[in-house]
Amino acid sequence: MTRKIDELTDKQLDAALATLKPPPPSDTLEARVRLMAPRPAPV
Amino acid sequence: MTERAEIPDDPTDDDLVRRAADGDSAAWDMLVARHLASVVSFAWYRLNDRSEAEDIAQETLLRFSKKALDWEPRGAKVRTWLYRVAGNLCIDRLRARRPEDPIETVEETGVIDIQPHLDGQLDTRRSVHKALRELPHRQQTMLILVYYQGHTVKAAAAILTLSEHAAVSLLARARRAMRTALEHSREDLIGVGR
Repeated sequence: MTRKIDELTDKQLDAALATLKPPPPSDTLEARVRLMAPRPAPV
Repeated sequence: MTERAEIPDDPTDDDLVRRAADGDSAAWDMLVARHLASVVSFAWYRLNDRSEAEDIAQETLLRFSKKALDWEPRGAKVRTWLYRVAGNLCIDRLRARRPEDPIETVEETGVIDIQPHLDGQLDTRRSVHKALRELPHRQQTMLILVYYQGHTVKAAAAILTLSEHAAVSLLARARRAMRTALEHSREDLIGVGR
């Protein structure tokens, strides 16, 4: 496949994508979600 | 009180779901530890808003908690199910956004990792997130799953209910669109990867 001279190379594109890093879950979210454990119906 | 067997080493997700559905909170905690961060980051890449990403993750896990009670081990994988639900919730959230709604800027998240060679080039990161947000939903999801979440194309294809061939093509289109959208950032990336 041909590539325009001024297009990013694959490595440049990968480097650009790598600049984004997501936040980790907050402690409060993790605590809330842990409290959501399934509740089986009483037998 | 009934004695509960210990969770084996390296349990499968299906093992953990079965145990969690029987009331084993340690098994649920392990599922949360395995999947919560991935769901949050998946939603964050799509929405570029930490608070909304956490809302999506919480709703996804709440739905999964209910689903766990009648989980069918031979159905979709846990991870696949979570991404599908989170993806649909993200689409709903994006549709509900009004154009004038403010979008969290990349600087505000405070967790962006600046590579030394890109130090100070906030415009590049802003451009990447903008370009990512403007991709069609399926291209965006494919790029996030494969590039950012480390899924194989085959696994991403399963999440998007595509053939592997179609997934390869979708990923190529996503990369091409990103390349075009980021052409103007090329000067910032000179010296990278040559």
